[in-house]
This record gives sequence, C-alpha cells and structure tokens, in this order.
Amino acid sequence: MVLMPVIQPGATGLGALTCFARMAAGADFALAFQAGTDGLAVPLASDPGPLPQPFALGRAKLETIDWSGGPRDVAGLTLPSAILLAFDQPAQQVMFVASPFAEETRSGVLLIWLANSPRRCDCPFRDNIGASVPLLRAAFGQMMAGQHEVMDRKLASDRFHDLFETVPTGIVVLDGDTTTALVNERAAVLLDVPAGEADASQVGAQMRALRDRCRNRDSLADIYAPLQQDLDYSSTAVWVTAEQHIEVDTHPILGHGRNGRIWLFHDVSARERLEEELRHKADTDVLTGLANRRRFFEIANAAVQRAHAGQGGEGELALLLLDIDHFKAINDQHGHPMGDAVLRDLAQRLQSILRTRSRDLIARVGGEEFAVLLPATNAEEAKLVAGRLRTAIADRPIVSGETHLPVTISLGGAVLSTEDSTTPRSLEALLKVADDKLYLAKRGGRNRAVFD
Amino acid sequence: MTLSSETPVVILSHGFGTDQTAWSAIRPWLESRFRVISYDLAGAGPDGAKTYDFRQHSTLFGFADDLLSLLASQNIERCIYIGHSVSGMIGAAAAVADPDAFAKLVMIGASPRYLNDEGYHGGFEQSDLDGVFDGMATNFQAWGAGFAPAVVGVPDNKAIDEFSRTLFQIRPDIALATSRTIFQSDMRAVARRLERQTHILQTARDLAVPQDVAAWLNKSIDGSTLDTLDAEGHLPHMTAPDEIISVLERRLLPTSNLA
Repeated sequence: MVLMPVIQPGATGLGALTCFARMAAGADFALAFQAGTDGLAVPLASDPGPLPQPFALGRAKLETIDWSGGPRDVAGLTLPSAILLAFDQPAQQVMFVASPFAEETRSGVLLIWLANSPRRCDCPFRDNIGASVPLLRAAFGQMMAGQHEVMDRKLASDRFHDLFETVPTGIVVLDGDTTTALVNERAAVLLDVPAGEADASQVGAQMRALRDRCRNRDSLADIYAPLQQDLDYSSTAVWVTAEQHIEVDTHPILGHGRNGRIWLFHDVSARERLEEELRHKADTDVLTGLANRRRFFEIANAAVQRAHAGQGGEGELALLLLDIDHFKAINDQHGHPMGDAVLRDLAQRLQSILRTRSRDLIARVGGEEFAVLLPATNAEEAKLVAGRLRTAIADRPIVSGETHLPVTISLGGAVLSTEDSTTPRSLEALLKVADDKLYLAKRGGRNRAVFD
Repeated sequence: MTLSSETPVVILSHGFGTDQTAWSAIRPWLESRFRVISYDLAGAGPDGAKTYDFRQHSTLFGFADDLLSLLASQNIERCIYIGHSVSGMIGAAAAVADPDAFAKLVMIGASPRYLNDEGYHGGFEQSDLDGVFDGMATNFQAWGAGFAPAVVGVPDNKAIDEFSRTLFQIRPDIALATSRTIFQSDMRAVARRLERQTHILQTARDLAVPQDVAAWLNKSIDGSTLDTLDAEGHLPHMTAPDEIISVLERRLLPTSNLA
C-alpha cells in the first residue's frame, strides 16, 4: 500500500510539501525551518506536528555536510537536543536538504528516522532517497520564502495594530483611493463611526459635523479652506467643542500624487484646563477675585493703544483710581479679618455696578486701592460711573457678623481723548492725573469723585 | 566560566535565581578531588542579559544545548554533572542527547514537572503558577522579597541575602520568561529515557519540589539512588553544604577514578 500524504485543511503549502517529503522519504519526522547566520532555527512547518519551539543549531553545521550519500547516522552530528528528544525513541538517522533563501542562509528541511521505527517506506523513491528528496530543494526554498514573508507581514501588521490602537490619539487614515478610511477605536468613539475600515465619505461627513459643532468653527473653516486645493496641506489646530478641546493634526501621507491623508485627534482638554487655571491664577487677586495689578496693566496698555488707533470707540478712554477712606483705622479698630471682609464686599459691589458694561475692567492694584478702566467712555459717562460706584459703597454699611461698618471711597478720574491734545496720551500719564485727582478728593473731605 | 585542578571533571550547573557563586560552600571540597567547572545559565549572572535569547531559551532544550556546547568547547569528553533545581532536567536532556559525555549525574532538588497531573503530584496547580507569574510581572522586587525566604526555606539570613542578590541580578523580563519555561516544563519523557547513573538529592521539606517528585524520579530513572538530606529548603548546597558533601563523598568517590 502506498501511503498518501494526508493534508490537513487549512495547512500551508509548505506544510503540505513537508508532509509529502516525509512520506516520500519514508522518514518519521520532517521539519522545515528558517535560520540565518545567528544559528537560531525557527520552525515553519513540521510533520507530524505540533511545530517545535525555536532552537539553536549550535555546532550542528548541517548545511556544510555532503548529503549526496543519503541519510547519515545521528552520532557525531551534534543535533540540537530539542530535535533529538522530540520523540519517544532515539533518533537514528538524519538527512538535511539545505534550502537557503534571502538572509536565511542556514534554512532547510530536516528528515529524521527513529530507531526501531514502526514506519516502513513504501514510496516510489525508496531505493534512491538521497537523490530524490533534494529535488525538492528549490520548491522548499520558494515555499519557505513565501511563508517567511507571510509571517513578516503578519508581524508588521500586528505591530501596526498595537500602535494604532494603543496610542492615546484618535487616528483616521484616509486611503490614497479616497474611498476607504481606517479608523481606530478612539477616533470611532469621537466621530461616532464604526472602528476599522470605514467608508471615507461617512467618516469625512462626521468629521465636518464635529467641526461645525465647535465654538471656533468659523476660524476652523478658514484654517481648512486650503485643503480643497492643496493636497500637501498640513496643519495643527485646536477644535473647541462643548465638552473638550481636541488638538487636530492633519498631514498628507504617501507623498505627492497619492491623495492619502492622516488625521490625528488628541484630547488636550486637561492641558487647556490647566493652562486656563494657571492663567486665571496669574491674573487674579486672591482675596477679592478681581483682576490683579499685572492683569490691569496688560489690559489697560492694550486699551490705550486701541484708543489711539481709533478702534472700539471714538478714540476715548477713561480711568478711575479709587481708595477706601480711613482703611487703616478699620484694620486697627476691627482687625484684619474685618479689613479683608470690607475689601471682598466692596469688590463685589463695585463689580456689580460695572457688570452691565461688559468692556469695563476693575482691578485691585494696591492694598486698599482699585483701578477701573472704562474703554470708549467720555468724561461725562465716566463721571456718572464714578458717582454710581461711590454711592454703591456709601449707601449702606458693610456687614460682617454683628458689625455694621459704614465705609466710603474716594475717586480720582482721568480721560483720554484722541481729539483733544490737552488730555493725557499714555497710560502712565492717565494714572498720574487720576492719582492727583484722588489726592484732591481725599483732601476735599473724602467720599467724593474728582475729575479735571 | 571558572575551572581548576585536574581530571575527572565535575560540571556545576546552578538553578533558577542563583548563579555559579551558589556553589562556593561545596566548591573547595570538590576542587580538592576533581577538576571543577561551573558556569552561569543563560539569563543568570552578571552577563545574563547578553547570554539569554527569548526564543532559544523558551524550552529547557535550549539550555541543554548550551551545556553541550560548553562541554565541546572545553574538550570535555566525559563529566560528572551536578545540577541544582532546573539544572537537574537540563542535565538529563543533555545526557539523553549525548549519553557519552556524561559519566553520572547528581540532581539536587530537581523536578521533571511542577504541575500536578493525573497520577503525578508535582506540587502546583496552574492557578498557583499563574499567581506566581502575575506577582513577578506586577512587581518583581516585591515578589522576590517574599519568594527568597520561602525558597531558601530555613531562617538563614546569609543564604537569603545571597539568593536575593543573584535573583535581582536577573533582568525582570528574563526572570519571568525563565520561570515560565521552568514551571511549565514537562521533562518526564526525557527523565524516563535517561540511561546514565543518577543520584537524586532531596531535602526533607522543599517549597518547589515535593517528596513525591523525588520518589517519581527515583522510580523512573533506572538504577538511580535517592538520598533525603537531613536539611530543609530548596538550596541545601547553600544552607547545608556538609549534608551535600557527605552524600557526594558516598556517591562520587568510589568511582571518582572513572575516566
């Protein structure tokens, strides 16, 4: 009876060939492995299975031995122990068909015959094994190269997948053919599309929908306008949605002429929140929650420049300096906690007066000293505002616990008008004038506002 | 690799968590009688990261091939092999693959299979081993701090310190891979095929190797001897060297002229 190789369903071509070689040679075991100069043999197919673990060829220089005389005795060949011990019986004879390919110069097929083997060789090659099996050398080389390539591709694909799904970034890769998109899990959640291969137009529509929901959609539209013409366009922009800040990076892939593009979505909400918090801390007076001196000068300088440029009003701007009357006495008589309560309450009242005028800014610029910036405001309006501020404080006492404390403020005002060359030109000059007027208000009996 | 004195040759192969310095307590006695060669297993010792290959050493056969290469490179045609713990089965594999190179084998605390099986008591369930591997992967230092005293098995601080030193010398990923290779191994078929004279040494209580395992080896290896030492723990060559020496004296010396 001639034994026919039984080829398992799903087996590779190399597996089938290995099986065939073993049957044809009447051997008990056949193993096709790849090995390079480092001598580590990686099994690719074996018959019977299962596939052995990788092993070191070590001193076994199988590829340098002349096998033209057919199988050789195992003794003296220093075969790897994993091969010698893979069977219940000792290995007796061995033959090697070298099938080098690419860098894998020590690759080949190892055939093993066991001692007292129950198998019998009934194959057509039985009288001339040494000459016939090596005929498969070229076929093995090709098959192993093919298998090797499949494994390499799988490895590369596995690595890509690991990277694609574990980076903390949503990724959309639009293929060069512009019909398919590859979407990772994070991007799929963000865009509400299926992960994996998706329809490019669906993914594109969802990306546009997300962009249109952004608070900064108008500036984003400008940023992405060049995309229509320029295939090489790349940009990084922050998309501000109601829930999060997303830094979106896009750049072309696959170079010129191929319309591939990658979109990276990186959630920077935490970073933005932290930055916002730091900005706020740097700009805010801790006790009153008002803008601090640093913030005031930043805004006021810009406002003076804008007034000179004639923007945001008719080239007018007013500045008030105000000071709590007899504040030192309040601290001395009622203690610093009361002083702090006065500062907080006063800040709230002043701010509520200014709340209807959204462009105004009030800041605590000294211990009991405040500054108010009134952009696009002329002298008449500034006087009205100053009056409202003064009465808001003087009207009713400040209450802290059981203590009802009448408090008043004095104000000095200065106005810049680009049409009147006698008015102060710079912020420093404005402050100087306002400070002088404040001094006059104090001298004049306090609880009053003094302008020119 | 270190060698001294003249023939016959004794090869010393250490176990997991130690390196060749583990033999220092019994080495002087051996050196006055044999040419002694010790070596570090792949992954162990100061150069462990260089000698270990994750693919080649994924089975104990990879380690056995290293041993056979060492014998060949030193032109040793025949040796007396002393292996501790995992090196017991590494020696067994090498001695089945190349019987002529081994005059006899001494196995201290060896086990062909750590997992329990039908009709075989290896001492561990898979869940035990998974716990070990998880512990190693999560925090190797913390795991080692608990493992060292447990495996030494006696309150010998010097041995615990020494074992900890060599254990932490192993790169954690290599330690995890090696312990997987060891604890998941099944070398029973190899042990059954061993045809060289084998002396099995076992302590009265060993965390890694139950008495049943030593008895199984004794029964399965033709002509083997089993000596139960008056000692406890997995590292008797470190904690009870005199016990080891007295057995070696009895088992090795009458035939030490063997070439």
